[in-house]
Amino acid sequence: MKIELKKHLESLLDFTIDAGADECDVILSKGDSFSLSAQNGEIEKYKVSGSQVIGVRAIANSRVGISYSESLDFDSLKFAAKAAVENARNSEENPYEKITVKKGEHIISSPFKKDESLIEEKIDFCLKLESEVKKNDSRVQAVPYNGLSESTSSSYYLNSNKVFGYQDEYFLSCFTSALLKEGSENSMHYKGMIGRKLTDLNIDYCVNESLKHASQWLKGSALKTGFYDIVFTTDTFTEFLGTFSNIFSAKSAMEKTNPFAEKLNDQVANSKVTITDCPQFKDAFFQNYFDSEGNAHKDLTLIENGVLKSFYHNSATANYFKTTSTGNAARGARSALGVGGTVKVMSSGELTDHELLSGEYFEIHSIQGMRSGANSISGDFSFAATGYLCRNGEIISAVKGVTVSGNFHKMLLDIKLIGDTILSNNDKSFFAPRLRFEGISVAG
Amino acid sequence: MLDKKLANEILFEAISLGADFCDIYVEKSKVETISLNSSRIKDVRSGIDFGIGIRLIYGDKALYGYTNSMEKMELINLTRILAEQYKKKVETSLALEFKSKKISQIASIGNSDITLSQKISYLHKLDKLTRDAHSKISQVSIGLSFKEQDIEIFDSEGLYMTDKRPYCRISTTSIAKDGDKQATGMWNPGVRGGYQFLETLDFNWIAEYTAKQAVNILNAKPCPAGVMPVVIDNGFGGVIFHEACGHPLETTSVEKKASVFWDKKGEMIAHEALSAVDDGTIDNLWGSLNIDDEGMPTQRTQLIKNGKLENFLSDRIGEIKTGHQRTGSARRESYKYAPASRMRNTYIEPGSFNLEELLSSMGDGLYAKSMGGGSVNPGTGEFNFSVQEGYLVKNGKILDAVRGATLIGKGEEIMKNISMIGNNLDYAAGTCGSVSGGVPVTVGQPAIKVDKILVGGQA
Repeated sequence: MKIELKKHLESLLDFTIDAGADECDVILSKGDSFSLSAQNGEIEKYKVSGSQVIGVRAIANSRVGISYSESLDFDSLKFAAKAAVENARNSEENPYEKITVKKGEHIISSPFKKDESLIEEKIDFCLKLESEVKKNDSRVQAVPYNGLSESTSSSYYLNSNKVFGYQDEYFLSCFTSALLKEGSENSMHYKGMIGRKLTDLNIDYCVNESLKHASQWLKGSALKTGFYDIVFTTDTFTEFLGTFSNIFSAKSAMEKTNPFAEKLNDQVANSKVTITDCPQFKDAFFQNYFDSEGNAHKDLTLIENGVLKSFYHNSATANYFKTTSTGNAARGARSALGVGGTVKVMSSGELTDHELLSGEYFEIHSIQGMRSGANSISGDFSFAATGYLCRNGEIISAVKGVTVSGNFHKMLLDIKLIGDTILSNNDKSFFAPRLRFEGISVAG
Repeated sequence: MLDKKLANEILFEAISLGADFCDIYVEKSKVETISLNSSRIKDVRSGIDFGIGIRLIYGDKALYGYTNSMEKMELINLTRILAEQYKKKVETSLALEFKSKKISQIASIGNSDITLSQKISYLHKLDKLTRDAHSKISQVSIGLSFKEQDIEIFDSEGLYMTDKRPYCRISTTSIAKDGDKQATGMWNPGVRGGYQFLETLDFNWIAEYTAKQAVNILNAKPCPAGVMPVVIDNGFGGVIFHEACGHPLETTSVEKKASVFWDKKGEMIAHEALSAVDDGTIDNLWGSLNIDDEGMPTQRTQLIKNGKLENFLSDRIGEIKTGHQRTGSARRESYKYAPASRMRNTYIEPGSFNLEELLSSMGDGLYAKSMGGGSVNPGTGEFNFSVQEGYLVKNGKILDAVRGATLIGKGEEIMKNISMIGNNLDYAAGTCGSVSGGVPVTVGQPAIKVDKILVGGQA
């Protein structure tokens, strides 16, 4: 933690109170990153960055105003403080938003030390992300997307009750892609991973996964239009569930854009489904300790045995619904107060893979157009998908050029089968067993 | 913003370390946002973005870094770090006399002294009109955003350019509710201009349009799936061309051969009825620019003429790698990104048919009145787009509203299947995300008829 940066928070906080705020809180985010990408055997892009932003939320006469600055000199901080108070004065009364956390200090320093690999080793690593793809398949037309990056970030929080929070993070990530062409057909797939050290990143895994799927889909074709059982990979299910994550948002409920707003304690999913938000889940890549209002994070059961048990709350939504904050306030230096989750964990069922994957089903490996093809209020969706038609756990054929459509709310209730093993998505932020959905519309 | 002497010292450092070229991009942006929800102002935000990006080019390699600092040593150190891998000692006596080029300025709607409370009253007015437009409207969300981007560009060839870019946009979403059923309608116009834009808007029309769209979708049936002809109406319908053809024509994709069109210049890549343009010079349009982010005056670029591929969109690195001349298309979201070739205002040029002629020639199919978003894989050309508001067509007559329709296909194929072009060209504002971040772009087209395309919906 840098003491001089903490002083910037204290200055902005003081300036904001001096400017007329009754109370306020301040967030400072700082990040440094380094990234490389390769093309035609040479480093094509080399990027170094350092950035910072400080933001204040001022509350004056029950009105809220927000302002931020990327410059940390005193004049800029004073300007930001005045702008926040001015914005608050021109805003409308907001009786729900208050600075509620009265005491606490969270100082979380990453236990992971910066990777000490030489720059030459990183360059060599990046070059291999391209060359290994090209070397392993003569049909590779290009490796258009590849890269290695290293990121350090730190975030600071301070409110007018002197509640202070600090957390830093460090990680590396890499990815590569394979664009294959054979005759008039082409296909592409990419794979990436994250780690704490360069040696955590596995070039062979990224290369082989990219090539394996791109190669299969080169021969892929559409399915005959009809109704199929569907199995998502954990990554595609993360994306699918994430699109409809407003079902857990108290802020969306407050704004009448959460379709489950009036379904608390109602059955919204198959009775075997339990979903919990676990900020410090032991297998998760990132651990989360405090929210954007200075509350300590804690486990939260969202759905239990299919029944909706809670929404994500911050202090404002908690005031509105006359409940208590769940410690899920989310706010960046530039943004307004919202809510957000951390690591979602879905409980396992009882079926082995052998049982869950019996008979014929469409396994979805890649989704295109999920956000644009979904209505998060009605739950209707229609997205393009790539994957495999499988039978009894074995691939029968590669599938591309199909659309999958249905209704998310109905699918949650109609989950047909739940596996007995918890799997994680690629960045270890979501954990769930394999799920099988019955009779989903697929057009080809 | 950046002292010219210091700019010269940075460029001198880069060239003396063997860089073939160096440019400095300085940005200071004022950002304001007001949000309304549940008929109340939800938040009022403002801020200042400031940063400096430095790019060194060695051969065809671009090295890029940025910082929020204006300190001399920070900027010189950043330049040295970037040069570390490729540096070679070069004797130079670079002493630039920075020269600006005089360029014609596109017109922008003004930014009158409208107060914050006046801005807020516009939002309340639109909220009330939308709620009054239909009894089934249960919620209205409106966002008003304004950004004024001041930029300076210095380069090692002595170029010094400045620009002020105002952007104003209003986003409105209405939600219709009937029992358990909910649906949304939306309209998000934007201009390269100031707050006077609000005075040009017909709020009654916007309110009725979004309310009617939401209510129509509320009662829509699931769209049947299958391959069928589709008429896509004007304005935001142009998002298909933007995604399926525009992105693969950026040298950012072409230089990596990650474009299905990378070797097709001079060839017929579309139906002969189709001509398309990317034009950064249109007054007031959301994607217009005086200069691009390398300081080059922007221009009108004919992409396709009567089906033949005429030009790619190119920036400095694109020109170095592909030989395609720069088109004033280097763009970036902010100083945090190196520039890349990107679209500006991209549209299909109008033809001679009216909408009724397109529908009647289609017979049975889908009429996509309003498109949602979508994406494309430039390498394979595979795209997908959602239909925001669609209707089944029988014997050329518009019938029931349908929901959940998605159009998917390959860029190469759809370009050849666009067989009729309407005469009702219109534009729509959007934010395009790609390698250099999210930039304001306009998509546009008249109504078009696609002879066959896979429509995803209910089996």
